[in-house]
Amino acid sequence: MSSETQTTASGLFLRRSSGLVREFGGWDVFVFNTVGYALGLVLAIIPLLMAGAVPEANVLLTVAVGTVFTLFNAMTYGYLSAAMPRSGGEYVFLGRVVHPTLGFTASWGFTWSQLLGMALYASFTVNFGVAIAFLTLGNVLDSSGLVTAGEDVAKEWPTFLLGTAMILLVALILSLGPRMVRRFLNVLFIPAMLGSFVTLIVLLVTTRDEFVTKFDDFMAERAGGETYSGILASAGDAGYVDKPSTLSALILAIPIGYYIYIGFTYSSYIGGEVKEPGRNQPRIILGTLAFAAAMYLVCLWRFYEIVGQEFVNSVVYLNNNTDDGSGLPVDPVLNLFTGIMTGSTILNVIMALSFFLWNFLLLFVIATVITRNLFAWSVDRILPDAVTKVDRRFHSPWVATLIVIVASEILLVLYVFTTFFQEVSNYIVLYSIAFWATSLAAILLPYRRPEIYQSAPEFVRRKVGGVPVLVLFGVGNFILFSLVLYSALKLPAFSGPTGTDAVLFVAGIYVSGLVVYLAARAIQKRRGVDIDLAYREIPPD
Amino acid sequence: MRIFYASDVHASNRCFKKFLNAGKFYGSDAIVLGGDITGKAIVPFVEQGGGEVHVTFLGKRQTLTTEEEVRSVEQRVGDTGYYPHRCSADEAQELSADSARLHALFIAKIVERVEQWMALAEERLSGDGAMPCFVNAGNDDPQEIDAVIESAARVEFLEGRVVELPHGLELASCGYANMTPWQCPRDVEEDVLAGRLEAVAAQVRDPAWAIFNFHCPPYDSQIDQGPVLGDDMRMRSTAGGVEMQAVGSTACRAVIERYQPLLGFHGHLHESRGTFKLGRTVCINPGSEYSEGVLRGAIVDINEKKRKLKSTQFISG
Repeated sequence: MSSETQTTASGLFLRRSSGLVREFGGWDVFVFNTVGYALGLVLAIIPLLMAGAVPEANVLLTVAVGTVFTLFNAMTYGYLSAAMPRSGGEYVFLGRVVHPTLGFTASWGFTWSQLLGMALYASFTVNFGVAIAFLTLGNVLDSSGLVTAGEDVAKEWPTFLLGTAMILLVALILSLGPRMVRRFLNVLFIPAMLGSFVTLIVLLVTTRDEFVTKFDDFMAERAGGETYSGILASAGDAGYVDKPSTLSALILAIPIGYYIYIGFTYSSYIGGEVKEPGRNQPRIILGTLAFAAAMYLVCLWRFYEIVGQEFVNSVVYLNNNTDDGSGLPVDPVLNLFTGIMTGSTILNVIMALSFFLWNFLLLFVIATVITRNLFAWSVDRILPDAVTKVDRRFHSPWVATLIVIVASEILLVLYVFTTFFQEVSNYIVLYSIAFWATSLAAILLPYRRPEIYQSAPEFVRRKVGGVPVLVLFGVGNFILFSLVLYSALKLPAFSGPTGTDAVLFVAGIYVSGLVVYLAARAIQKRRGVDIDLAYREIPPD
Repeated sequence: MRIFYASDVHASNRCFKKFLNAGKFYGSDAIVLGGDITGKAIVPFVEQGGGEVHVTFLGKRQTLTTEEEVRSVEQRVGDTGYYPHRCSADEAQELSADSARLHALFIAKIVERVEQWMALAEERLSGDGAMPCFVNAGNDDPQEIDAVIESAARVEFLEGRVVELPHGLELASCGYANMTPWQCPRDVEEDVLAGRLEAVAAQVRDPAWAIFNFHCPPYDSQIDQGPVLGDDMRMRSTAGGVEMQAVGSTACRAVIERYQPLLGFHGHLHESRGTFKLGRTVCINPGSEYSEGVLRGAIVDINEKKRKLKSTQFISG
């Protein structure tokens, strides 16, 4: 009898029953979200991205203000995940609160952005993760073999072949089942994070004078001999003017302050697996954001203290506007400079491996999010049953994985060998529309679905001045993504193409989603299945 | 013919109320509730004197000062699938120390809730709302509930029996499961389970026009994935989710493979929602999200003239 009941530390009485109370930790979700926004990749490219898109914006202020706006996105997705703790993100939120058609269409657009992301990040893994890592290592460690390898892998065919190898490796690991994927992510997260901490420490212990001396030595030995002050002067001669930071530049740059976090809410797509999701989703999402903000702000504060924003802007200006460029052998990513700062072989190898891993692991998170969405659509009868087929031995979703791989491969070909991505595909606009639309779910939930709202955890139902906080978060999210969309359509250097073809492409994706949903609904209706019922709540009373 | 099937509501008042309404909501001819209808936890509402009550629910300690507040939290506790229990601090301590007394309290709470549900079913399923309603027990459910359901006016108890659904479709039921690490009230060894399943399956006149409502899903059927447990009986999770493995019943698989019924209705594994075809039999596990008050279920459309399955559709209602 004594083992039939027990009392928990909090005083809850439990009886012996299968599964007991749902209870498992949030660390894995933190890992999932952190790999989702690819901490080390973003950290490396922020200086390059900011200098290219909005050089006159203060980077730290951009990140700080962007983080505040991103809080609205965190709270919107965190609170909606707490109120509707199911896997699927906007598919569930919008589908339940507004209409299933809108939920699917937004989810379709987001999923396409992730498919484009697979191709994009597969090639980034080669062009940034491998090539820049090799070039940086080769230059810092004075290895001509590594430099040559870095230059060679960035070419078209090597990019395609290595990108394909990355995608196939992702497919292979996915096909070994979810357990293997999780182990793979768990193990490789450690060296990825280690490299980022090494970067942080190098930035914390280096002074500007030390860097300038080491930079000048590095350039004299392994590049054209340009010096730190010489580059600043050359940029001035070429027409670069260091302008003070302005409010308009800041507003234009705020979306970059959000972009650096994209992926930190991805646990909402696997919400059904999170322990006490009503409580933990907002905490984990906010925790992920807080950790990311701290790492970004400290690293970038030190980076710009040491290297200087004017210097980074000058390098990018010279690279973009002069035939000779800046003379730097590699794009001015943060890794290059930290590599020069330390000079240590082992620390450089750790940072290079970390940089590669942040790129590579992101592919697993993206592929997981896509397969979850494909599964959800199939279970709800929008896609054929076959999509949910699972291999008996490894329990891997092989049909969904195959779809992801084939689509990614086609898009990789388009990315490497055509100008499709340069002229048509605007990745940021594509996913931002889905996030923008999700604001509606937050704003309307208390009024359109009061039964869901009333049964949500207490903190979700709090009010400020009589207005539900969820509504305020939704409005903040709406403003954030209005700004993101505005900047994404104004700044090709930030978001990619913004012409008519690009707008039509995005519109086409979303319209095709609507068509797919309506077609599936008509087909299923003939079979007597009403797919609109999938998430319609049964009134309990 | 349309049947609505759900399972594993685990004492969630909100889910059971939704289940009773599901027949009308989805236009079904009958509603079937698989096993595991009882809850796993009692939440003590410790009276401190002066009308103040302390309660810890979902990890949050609250001090309640009005009867209205207490009732509101009690309702949420009931909707989540737990049992609220008002007691003094002394009684709470005594219950912690006396497992036999706590076990008796569990049984009383469980029976009380099932009685309330049966009364609610009588109220809602009478007159205009009349609807054939079938309920079974599962491996987590103590035997004490059987008599309560058997005596219900508007609900038919299913354990170990074959009953007729509309159009003569037979429903053969067994709520027992193969052994789990928790050794629940209706956990039995595979050979014992095989005997129970065989006994009920043998009562079916025509397996091709029958549903086997076996709480435990067939082994290695993809709808029998349960979390891998560590030595501390907690789920093991790694980056990306919980580690899962096949934990269904080999006996269940053998019986379904041998008899090949039209459908298999299963539950037991909340995280393993899906369908799986075993020969000609379509096995369904609608999963469960009872703790969030979400009723997961399946709408099953059957062509009674062709005696074939038309479609299945999962819902999160």
